[in-house]
Amino acid sequence: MGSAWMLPAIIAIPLLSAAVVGLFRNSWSKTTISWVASGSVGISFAMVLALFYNFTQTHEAITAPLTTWGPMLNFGLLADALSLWWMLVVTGCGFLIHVYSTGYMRDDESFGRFMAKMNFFIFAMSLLVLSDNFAGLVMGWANVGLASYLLIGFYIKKPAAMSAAIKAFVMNSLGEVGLVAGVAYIYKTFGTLSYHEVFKAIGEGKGLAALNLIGILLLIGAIAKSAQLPLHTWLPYAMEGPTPVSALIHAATMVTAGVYLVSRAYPIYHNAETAAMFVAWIGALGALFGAVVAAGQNDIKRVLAFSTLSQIGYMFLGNGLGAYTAADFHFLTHAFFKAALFLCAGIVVHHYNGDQDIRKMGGLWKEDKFAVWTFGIGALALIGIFPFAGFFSKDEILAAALNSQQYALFAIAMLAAGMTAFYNVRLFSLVFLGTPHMAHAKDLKKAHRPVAVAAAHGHDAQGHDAHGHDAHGHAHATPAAMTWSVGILAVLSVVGGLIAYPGWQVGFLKSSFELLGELEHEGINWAVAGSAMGLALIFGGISYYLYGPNGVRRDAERNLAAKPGILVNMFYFDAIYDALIVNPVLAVGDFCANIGDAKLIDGAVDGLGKLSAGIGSGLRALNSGYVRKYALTVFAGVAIMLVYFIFMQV
Amino acid sequence: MNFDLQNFTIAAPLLALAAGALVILLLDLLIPAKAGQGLWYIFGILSVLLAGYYLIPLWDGQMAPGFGGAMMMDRFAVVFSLILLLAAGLTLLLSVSRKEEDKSGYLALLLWGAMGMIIMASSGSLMTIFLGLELLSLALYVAVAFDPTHPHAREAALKYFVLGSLASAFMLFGFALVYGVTGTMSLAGIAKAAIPQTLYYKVGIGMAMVGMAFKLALVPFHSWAPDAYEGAPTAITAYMSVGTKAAAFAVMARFLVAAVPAGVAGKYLLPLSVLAALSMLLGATVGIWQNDLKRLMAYSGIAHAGYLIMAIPGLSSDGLTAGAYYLAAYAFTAMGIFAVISLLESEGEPGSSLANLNGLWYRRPGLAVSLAFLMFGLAGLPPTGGFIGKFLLAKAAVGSGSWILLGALVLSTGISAYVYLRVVGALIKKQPEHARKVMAGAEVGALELPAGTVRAGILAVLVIALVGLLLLGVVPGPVLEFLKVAIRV
Repeated sequence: MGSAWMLPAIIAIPLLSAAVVGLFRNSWSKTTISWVASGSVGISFAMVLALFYNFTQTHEAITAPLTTWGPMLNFGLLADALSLWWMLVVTGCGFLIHVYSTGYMRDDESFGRFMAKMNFFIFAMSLLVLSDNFAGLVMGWANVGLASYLLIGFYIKKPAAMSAAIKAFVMNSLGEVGLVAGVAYIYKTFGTLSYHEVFKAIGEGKGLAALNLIGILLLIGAIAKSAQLPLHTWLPYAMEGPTPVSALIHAATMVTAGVYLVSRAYPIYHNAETAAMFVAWIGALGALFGAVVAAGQNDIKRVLAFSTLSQIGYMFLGNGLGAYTAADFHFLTHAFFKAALFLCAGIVVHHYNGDQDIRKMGGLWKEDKFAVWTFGIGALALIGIFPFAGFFSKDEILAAALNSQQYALFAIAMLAAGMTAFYNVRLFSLVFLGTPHMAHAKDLKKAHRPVAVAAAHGHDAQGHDAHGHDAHGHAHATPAAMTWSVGILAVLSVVGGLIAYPGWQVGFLKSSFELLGELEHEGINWAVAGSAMGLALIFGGISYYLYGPNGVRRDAERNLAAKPGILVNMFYFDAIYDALIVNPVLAVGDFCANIGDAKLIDGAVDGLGKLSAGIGSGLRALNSGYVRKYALTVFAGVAIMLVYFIFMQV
Repeated sequence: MNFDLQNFTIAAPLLALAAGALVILLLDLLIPAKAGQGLWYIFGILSVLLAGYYLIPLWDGQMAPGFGGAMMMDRFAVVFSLILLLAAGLTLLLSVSRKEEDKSGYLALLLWGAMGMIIMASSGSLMTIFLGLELLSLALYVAVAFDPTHPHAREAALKYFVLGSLASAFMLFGFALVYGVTGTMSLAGIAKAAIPQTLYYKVGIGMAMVGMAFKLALVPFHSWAPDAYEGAPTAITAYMSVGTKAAAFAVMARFLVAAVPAGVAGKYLLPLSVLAALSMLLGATVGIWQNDLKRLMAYSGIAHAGYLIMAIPGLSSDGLTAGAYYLAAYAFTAMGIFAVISLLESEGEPGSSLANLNGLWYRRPGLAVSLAFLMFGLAGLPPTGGFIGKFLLAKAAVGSGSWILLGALVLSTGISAYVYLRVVGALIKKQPEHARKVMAGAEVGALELPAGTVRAGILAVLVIALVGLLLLGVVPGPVLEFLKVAIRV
């Protein structure tokens, strides 16, 4: 294959760019940095597009062997239908969000550092998706975790961001233990880590007994990375990072890595009923849980975070039911509309000078028509209204649940679909409809912004209060880089699902799921889709009745003094973890630090130090320039050697 | 012994080095030093490259035994000779910062030392081993003393010489006993005639081991190393730490494979394992207390010699392959670190003082990152070649069941990680500018190359070292395949 050279290039270019931008972040102008950082991802995207087109013509996977890691592993890259599908989103959405960031983050003093880290993320995610073996997947996995840590904690002077970054990293490390154990078990069972060879062995009926355990171990990693129950607690806090990060990493790509893992390892789950059942149930429960909690959140980005949790739950559900193409399809559409929603939320938040509390918002539709339209489109796609993108992909998952005759799962998923409409209408009403909240009414009147908001001033960095309102006295339009990228994503949220009409995505993806037999697109299940939409309309209607411009609960909801309930507290997961795990661990840590470390370890270290110092002073005696003392040690050594060899019995 | 074409082919790399040294000395006589010194370096590098070129046709092993079996230019020898030439070439480049007038002699000694090392790696008889060893040692004894500004240089050279002679004497004594038992000097002959049960043979092997352990600086025969490393010119320190170690390792492997019959290897090689374990532990712990980077490298070298010995107990192809791999990685790492020291020294800073490295990141970020990467290489962290090398060695040790060595490896790696990461920590330690000691400008020697040339030469070494270390870390496959083909026991 002539185009195999592109695979390493796709990975290497963002990495190189990350290094270069990182090195020259202080000496290059922000314009140069913008071009290099976005351009490198753009080049990768162009190459992915070329490979993608190539694949639609030939339907042949491309491999690029890179190196051999000893006897254990041939490390290489693989572009088959599945990885190209994912790369399309990783580099495509990645490119748009890079472009958005060049506008959004431009006034941040650490702009170069930000772009370098974003590039590094694209590298890590591409490595995760493109590698042709489990070891490469683990490497990419760990590196996206690192990128996520670095970007959540981007505002290094903000303690909340730092602790959120640590929280995300710890949770993911927990998952990685499971993932690495699973991969190790794969190696033990099959003696190889290459996807091709492992799956071939499974196809031949080898090692089937181990698959349930392997599947569950891998699932632990997937749950942590994809913020599914019960390892989801890091995701809402991850919103402390800049908004483009939330859009790219914590909505569109990285958090869906768990979905990729299950799709990629489908021969394992296909032959492991228990593990697959776990996947489906965790997904369904996550879908409902996320949608319910999202309905009670007051921070715009947290609403979207729980919405992400909920939508990834759908993808897990699809994977668990064996509807892998449906899950991957939903991943694609979700990336479009969720990225659009997040980026739009970034614009919204700027209207309120960095304040993310939706209780203080309202009536924005008069101020910013662009945001209303794009956000509205994103929300409709998310709810799954025909003909927006989310409609088609969600329908496939719901239909799969019905067809598999898992009625409990189907009911939960339908309920979650209803709740999705509920929280979306609530969010949209509180932000855009009705009248502005008292707290901000004056500001908005004073500013008089014709088109949009002031450009990004790194508001997230300023926190909720530090930003001086006067800075916004004069309005200037949203940078074109921001509106264009949001606009493109919004258009994709409208039309992106239409490929489901001919069932095109199934035809494309099926070569990656050969063991499932010949896949056929089943068409749109209008009965399921219709009832889901009907349910959504009912729930949405209730929500509008409650929170709409004249809603009966609107004022109560916007009461800032209200006591936070169970939903705002996210079902007390954090409190429970604190009580059950964190506090006991801290107690053990305190004990170890005060008793164990101070007395035992420090004692031992001091002892070692004294011993070494003793050796040192002994050496100093020898170091006094007397060769004869050196010679003495040589003779002593020789004497011992002699004695040994003379008395050695052979 | 007729001097036919085959012997000439085998000796060609050696002749290239010898001729290079002579040409340099001749040029010194013919052209005034100020004008001709650039040529010395050029001819030095050329002769190293030429030697490498002559090694290539030897790869197929057709010419293996030459000079009546005294030289064995097989693939094993070729691989080690390449590592040694790499070390010699990089050392030549590092030496561009020398300013003294005696440079021509210094360069000639370097090349002759390289000759000795290649003879050691390709020796087929006890006599050749000794010949190579002495050629190398004599060159180094003198080279260590080649830093007239350093107060300890002469003293270090003297210590090195006296103790080195002692070790040579032990080795000769051992060789004599082995010869007495077997009646032959050739390694192949010894392998056939060995009588491992006799007292003389046992003692003979033991004494020979002492001599080689001395060159490897294994505890308790290590005491010369820190002094000599600190006292010698930086380039020579680099040369000693890499070249001597590689050559001594090659000789040790050759000698022990031939002289120790497989059935009794466990008992014969046990003392070596103990020495190696002691070296790992001592090298790591005493390293903690060093505040001079060169001395730290000396102790680190002692520990690394211990790691290398892990390749020996099994005397298997896997082990020796791992050893060669580790040596290559170590060569790049050590050369890189000494390049950093040289670069700082050439700019008038006390480059090897750890205190001077404090806050290097804020002054010279590129240099600091390089040094940190090299330190990762020493500690054996991925993605450096040090990690793969250590992994292969540990695997070989597992294969031969040497649990003493593995235990010592784990302990030593843990302790030495602290040593190396402490250096990395120093790099990013914030420090007020005035607290840093800066020399009042480097001393002006009689014969100095332009500053730009010096900088370029040292940077070239640094870049080669970094790239080599990284490549060995991320694409180990090709090198490993190459070594596997080369090294068969």
